[in-house]
Amino acid sequence: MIDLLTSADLWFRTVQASTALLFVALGGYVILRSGVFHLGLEGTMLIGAFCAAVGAEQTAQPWVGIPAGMLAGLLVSVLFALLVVVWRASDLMTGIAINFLALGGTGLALQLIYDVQGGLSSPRLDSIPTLTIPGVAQLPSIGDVLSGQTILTYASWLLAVGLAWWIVSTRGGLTLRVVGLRPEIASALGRSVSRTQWLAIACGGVLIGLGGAQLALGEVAQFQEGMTSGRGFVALLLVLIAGRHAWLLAPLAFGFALFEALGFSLQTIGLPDELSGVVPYVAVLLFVGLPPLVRRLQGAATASAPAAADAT
Amino acid sequence: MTLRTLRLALAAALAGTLLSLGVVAALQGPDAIEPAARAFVESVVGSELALGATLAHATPILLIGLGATLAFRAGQFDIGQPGQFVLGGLAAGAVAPAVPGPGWLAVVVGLAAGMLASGLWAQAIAHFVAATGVELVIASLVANYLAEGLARLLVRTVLRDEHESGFVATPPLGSAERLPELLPGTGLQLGAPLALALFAIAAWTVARTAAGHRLRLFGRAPSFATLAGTRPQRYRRRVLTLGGALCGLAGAIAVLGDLGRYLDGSLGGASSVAWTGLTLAILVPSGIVALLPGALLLAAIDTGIAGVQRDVGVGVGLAMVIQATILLAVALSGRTVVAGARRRRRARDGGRALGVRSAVVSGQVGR
Repeated sequence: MIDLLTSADLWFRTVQASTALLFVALGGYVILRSGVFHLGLEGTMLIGAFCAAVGAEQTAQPWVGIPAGMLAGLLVSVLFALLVVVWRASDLMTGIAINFLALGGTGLALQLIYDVQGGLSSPRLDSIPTLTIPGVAQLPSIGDVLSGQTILTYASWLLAVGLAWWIVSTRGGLTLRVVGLRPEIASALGRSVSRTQWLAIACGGVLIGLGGAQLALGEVAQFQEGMTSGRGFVALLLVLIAGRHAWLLAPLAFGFALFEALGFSLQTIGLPDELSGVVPYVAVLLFVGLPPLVRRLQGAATASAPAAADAT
Repeated sequence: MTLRTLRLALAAALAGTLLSLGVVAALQGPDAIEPAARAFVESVVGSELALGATLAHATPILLIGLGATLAFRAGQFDIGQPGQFVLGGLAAGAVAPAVPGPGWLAVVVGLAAGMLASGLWAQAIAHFVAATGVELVIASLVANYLAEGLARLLVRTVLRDEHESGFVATPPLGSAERLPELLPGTGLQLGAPLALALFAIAAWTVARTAAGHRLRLFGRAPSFATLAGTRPQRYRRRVLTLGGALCGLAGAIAVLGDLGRYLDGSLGGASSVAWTGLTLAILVPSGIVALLPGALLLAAIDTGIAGVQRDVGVGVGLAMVIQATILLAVALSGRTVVAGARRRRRARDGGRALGVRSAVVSGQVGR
């Protein structure tokens, strides 16, 4: 177990896997703070991954996948915003519909463009090149983990810090929070609720698309039908766990990815590797469940204290 | 009311079908449209076999839709059906081969095991939600992935049939230990009339009995139901357990019926039929009765598109795209089933004070 936890490979894969999750969580966070519940993160991410893979394959340039994924995320989000913000459709149902649309639509598009079913991998499809950071790469033990990631990983860290700062320290961030919490106050202050939500959904969509691009092109460059396999929903959970604290998103994404990577590595110490499908979700339930449970118990303790005083 | 939604769903299904014909034309050329349309109709109702297959496919959709609808009517947005479906199937596949005695006993015990496993699973989720205050939609969503992970772990380790080398599954069931087939070669077995009977009982109960009144009352005005003597925590737990048991039954029927054993990954995943059942429940905004035509419609889309796939070679993804079209149409028509969304819309309209007051009332009564 100690060998496992000290292997640079485990931590490298954790960072790699947490990037896609972090992007989607950042996008979902912006959208949720504007007061819209987006159950379609999963589908948006899948379409982002698909378009990133297709863009990279068609041009044989992995770099092209990044803007392609961003554009796809943006377009899907414009559709979502049109339905939910402009036409006032139910956000829950629209989100679920987008997930179906993505799953069925990417499969069909795969057939339409490449005449294949199930997945896309091609010699023209390369993963995004990794960056070796001079100075960091030479550091003992952490150098192998922090250096050699894709540019998207470093971008996601900058974005995570930037978003956490922006949302608490700027006028724009304040507007976003007010719109999400008290839309009536926001409109009384002269801030347009629907325009803020539009912007939030559009920007969130671009971030989710980046997550898709990292998923498709960050490790092994490929696209598989349904390859997001719940990551969008997990990102939504991380957003809900983070609550008011945007800075928690990065550690949470890293934590989930670690549990996933650990699950895969468990077979090296004799445990079945199917645990990788169990351990992360148990961890998520603990993450989601523990804080409110602790709060509730504390609340019960403080609430019963005066009652006890009365009794004596 | 439900009739209007149904009409809308039909219109959307038609629009989706036209859309899919367009996709067929784009993929295979315009000449393929006519064979595609014929393949669609023929594989839904074209022969006794096709009709039987459509009805067989409608069975799990109806049962899962029913389980989800009961939860929705009580105001509980539970989306844990896919996980419950998988666990029910796994439990049936694990228990039925081990039952001694006559074949019918194995079937009965298998069905019961499926209901029990998923009912307990749903109850555990309800307990978790009650203890932590996490929203049910979130907890049940994670529970789906956890259930699928657990099922994969169990069937690949302790429950695996060691004699089978080609694939991962529980031991096979003999023909006597399976649900008797009604129409050989179609997968239509005794599960279909069983589901229909349960549907009829549920529809009658919800519409005509005191228990049904209580369910609807709890969904529409929980505080009022609490004042009338319903204990909210316990009632919520019971409704969710019942819904879970129905989904587990659907999984057990699938395993004891046409599958004949629990195959790894056969019931779960993003394209699981349980999601279709959940879609059905979302499409029916009130009452129970409209579930039956809805289940037949969704099953027809699935089998029809499967036929197009077989004959013309266009991907099954089309069925999901049509489902998404229907969902979007209903979402746009503004008729929302989901209590959470209704609450939110009320809050958006400025009726927040009302919501707060009712929460205070129920809180006092709860204590």
